[in-house]
Amino acid sequence: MLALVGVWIIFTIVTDGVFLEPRNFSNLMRQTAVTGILAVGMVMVILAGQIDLSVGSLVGITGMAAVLVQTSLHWGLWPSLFAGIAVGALIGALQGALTAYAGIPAFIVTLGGLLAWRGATKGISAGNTYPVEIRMFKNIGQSYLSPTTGTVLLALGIAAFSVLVLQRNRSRRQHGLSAWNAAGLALRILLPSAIAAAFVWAFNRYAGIPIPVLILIVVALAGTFVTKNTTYGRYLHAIGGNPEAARLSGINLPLNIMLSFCVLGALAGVAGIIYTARVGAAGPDAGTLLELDAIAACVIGGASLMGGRGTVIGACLGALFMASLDNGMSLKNVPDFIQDIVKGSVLVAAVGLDIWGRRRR
Amino acid sequence: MLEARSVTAKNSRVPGIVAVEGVSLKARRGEVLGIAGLMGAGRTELLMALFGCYPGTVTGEIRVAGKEVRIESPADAIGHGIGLVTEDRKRTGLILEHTILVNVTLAALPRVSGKYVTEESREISAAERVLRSLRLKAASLFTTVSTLSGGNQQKVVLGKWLLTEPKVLLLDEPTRGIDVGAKQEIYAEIDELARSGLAVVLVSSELPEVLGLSDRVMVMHAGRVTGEFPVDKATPELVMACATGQANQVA
Repeated sequence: MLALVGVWIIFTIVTDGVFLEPRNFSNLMRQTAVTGILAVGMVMVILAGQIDLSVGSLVGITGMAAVLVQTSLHWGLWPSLFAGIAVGALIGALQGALTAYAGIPAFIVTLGGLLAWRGATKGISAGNTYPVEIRMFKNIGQSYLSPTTGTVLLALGIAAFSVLVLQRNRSRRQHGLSAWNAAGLALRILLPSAIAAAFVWAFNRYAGIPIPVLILIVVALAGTFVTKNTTYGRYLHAIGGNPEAARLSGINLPLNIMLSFCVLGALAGVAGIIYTARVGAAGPDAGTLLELDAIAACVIGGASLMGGRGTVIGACLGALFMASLDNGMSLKNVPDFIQDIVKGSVLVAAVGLDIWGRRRR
Repeated sequence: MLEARSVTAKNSRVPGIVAVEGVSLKARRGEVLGIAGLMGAGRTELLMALFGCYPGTVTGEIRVAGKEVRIESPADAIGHGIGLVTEDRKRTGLILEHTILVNVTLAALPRVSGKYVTEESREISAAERVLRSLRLKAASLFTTVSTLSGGNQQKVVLGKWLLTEPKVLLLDEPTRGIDVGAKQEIYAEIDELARSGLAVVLVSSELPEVLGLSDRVMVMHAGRVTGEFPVDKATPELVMACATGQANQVA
């Protein structure tokens, strides 16, 4: 988190303030959305001790599927959205089944998937790019919530959040844990609320909250709920933490693992739709190498590739961090190859620091 | 409560190895059945076969509370009221980097928390209740189990199985690597569990432990049962003779 703020400060100075200008801020957050949605799904797979290298290709194939059904089959908005997400979920389930039930290592299954699904995308598109035909579809990637709607949602969000914090405090007191005093309570409510308000204010200065960001927020909230407050989420943590102990405690490893790949696939479909909508067309190379960004985001956000550790909020911050690096370097016209070197080095450094910090504790 | 007939377990990875051959046993309610034997006698494998986690083919009939059941996975076993405290709690009994609360609720999450959505307050109540009865000494339920002593770790494992409300509890070397004081507490707990109506099967390599806790003693050698007698007939010499295959006494 400190690194994120640090990077923001550096880029703002270095770009003479352009970095945090409303339009760039809006762009930056929109760029974060696709990686962020992938990272939320990826973190659940990583929690279970698995990995998925094919999500970039899934973004490509799901986006292509969603547009092709419009062009060739003349499907409407909702059917084409369904098609994109369904293709992602089915591929995810297939890869999950091969990993969980056939016992082929996830690394291999999804590496093969990365190649195969990219090939399939090039095949079904015959190498062509297809423009999105439905206006509403394009809006998903390119539109904004009106500033008024944004502010109303913010207010509702802060209200709901406050209620949750107060409830948690009450339950802490009930169980003999130290309840927060008035100052602690105020801090816990006001600080996140202030940050959220700042974000919404920044968005409203340009055109409002971008729809992709709204979708990311919904996905992130759902993902946080699933990983922290469901039996399924607890099982994922257990499977990644100690698969043998989890199995001997009666947990169905293959089923839960397969489900995590299926969910990631569906989220890749959502990301594919947003990506395609933003670009305005589905191309055969869409999403190439996005899996690396997603995995980097999870790891920078604190997930362990050994499994059992990781959070959705960490993954989102990691995605924001990676997108900030991208955005800032592009603003300064840093050549592509240097950008890649920087991103790779930052990833290794971030994780190295994290591991070093843990060892010291 | 638990009756096994002619259980045979064949290793699927190493052909020709028959870890358990034609073993029959009866574990009754309110009773501790101790299983003695040397290392490699097949006792752990027998428990694994009864719990549905043996890596190989298992044949034979298993009945729980008089009803014949098929046990092909730990989930099956747990569903029929069987729990297994494994030999190596650090490797197969606990998730060391997680908290006491997460570990102790792991096998009974739907019952203790919720089928789909977890409720921490319910979990905390159940965990506190069971761990208090086991006299667990820890700072809080959110302590990481890797920081606990062996005895306390084992209590977390016991707590985990007690929360599944088992009818049969299989214990594999339950006091290995535990200090003397905690050992006594666990012995008392095993006694108490049997008295409250559980059927307890105790595998142990410590003869005094087996003789001290059991109501009946079974001895295994090379995968077969070579001795079975009530504890008052079990002298160390007799048990050792059966364990080394020199005697065969099924009473």
